[in-house]
Amino acid sequence: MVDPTSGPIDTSPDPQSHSAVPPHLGDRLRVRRDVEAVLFASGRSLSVERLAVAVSYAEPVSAGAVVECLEALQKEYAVGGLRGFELACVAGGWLFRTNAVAEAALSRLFDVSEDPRLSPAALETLAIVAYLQPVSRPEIAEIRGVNSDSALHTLLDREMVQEVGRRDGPGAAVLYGTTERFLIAFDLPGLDRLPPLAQFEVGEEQREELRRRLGVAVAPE
Amino acid sequence: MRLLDLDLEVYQGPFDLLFTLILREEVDIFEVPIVEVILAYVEGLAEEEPADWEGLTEFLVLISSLLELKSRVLLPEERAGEEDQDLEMSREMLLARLVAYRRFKMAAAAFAQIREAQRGRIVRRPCRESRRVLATPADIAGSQQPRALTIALERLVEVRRPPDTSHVAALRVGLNRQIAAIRRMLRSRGTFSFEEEFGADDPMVQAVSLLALLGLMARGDVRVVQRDHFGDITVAAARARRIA
Repeated sequence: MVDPTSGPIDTSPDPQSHSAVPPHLGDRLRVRRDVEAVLFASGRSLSVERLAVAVSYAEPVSAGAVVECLEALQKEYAVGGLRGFELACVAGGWLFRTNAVAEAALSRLFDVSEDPRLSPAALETLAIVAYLQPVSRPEIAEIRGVNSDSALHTLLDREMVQEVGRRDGPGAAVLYGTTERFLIAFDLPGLDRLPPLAQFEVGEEQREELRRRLGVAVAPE
Repeated sequence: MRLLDLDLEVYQGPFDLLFTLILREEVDIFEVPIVEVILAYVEGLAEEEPADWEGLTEFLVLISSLLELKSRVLLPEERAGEEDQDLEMSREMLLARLVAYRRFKMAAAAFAQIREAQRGRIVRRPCRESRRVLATPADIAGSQQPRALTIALERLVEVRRPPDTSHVAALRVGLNRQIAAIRRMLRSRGTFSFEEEFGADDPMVQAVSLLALLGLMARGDVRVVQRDHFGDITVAAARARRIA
């Protein structure tokens, strides 16, 4: 029988400790709390290494321990789950974003259409930059068969592409590449996770058809 | 006979249009009826009210690039001699370009789908307090990225408060003022050393004084002697006319 007069009920499994958190769990929970705070404040994707630097103020925290925390948080903030945020692995790191399911509520209060759809011309240009970067304006125009300055301008404006350097040699054409914002907007952990370009290759059948229509001699088998 | 029924606005460029024309219409590329395309468009245009200028401009760009492309493909045919080979080459080249273009067109469609799935997800941007990420020692040490070093240096030299300028007095100097000053000196002393009079002044005052001196020289009011380059200048009133 528990004597109700013997003081506050201690729910801790360890009768020796009056702390709410057992000491062996303390560190992990502290790191999880700190990681969560840093990610909330960040507004940009943070790599595991960077997070480890942030939480290593008392004693060194290994990347492995940070990953463990991220996985625990990810379970808590499951993508498409019940929470308003989800923890996503994009752009070479981790960040919080709103749960897509909450869009209805968000769009009643905020002008979420502020970020309008990219035009087909802009998407084509973006695809060229994403796969061929670093790439110059003339190279983009060459592939699309039309001047793409206006599409490129839109993409620069929307922070999907940025100048990344200049071509060596005469003219020193400005070269463009994609941004972190692009990876975030397209839910990509990194450029190496773009859908393989080969998957968009014109099929052999269609190519033959083109060849026939264009009157190109078919190479002998 | 109406050969084409194309909604031209959906095409993103000449390759896009050509690709469709070649595969959908039963025509050889060398007989792509550009006139039909134009007629179809102009007919559509007549129905439109009011005129869609932007659409019209886009169409002009599209159709002129198509014309250029077609004429480029057609031209080698007129050359005598190796025409067959040339034609073959340009057809091969056009095929290669169409195929290359098509990949990105398909990729763009995939991008549109991904983006659509991401709609409604909001990612906050860094707020003022978290905009600047501190470079870690590991970022800078042995870094091959000059950008990391730049950010670290920027932070080092960053001025947090606007600098105190209370001790800076407004500099008052003007050409007429310096001309008057030189004239006064010449009246009282007849000659003076530029270095002695203006050497201690602000560089801007020195520069304007020199301009004043040049002005007086041009009028023949003063004589100057400078023995060495960048050496001192001795200024004297011109003998012919006394300074009034």
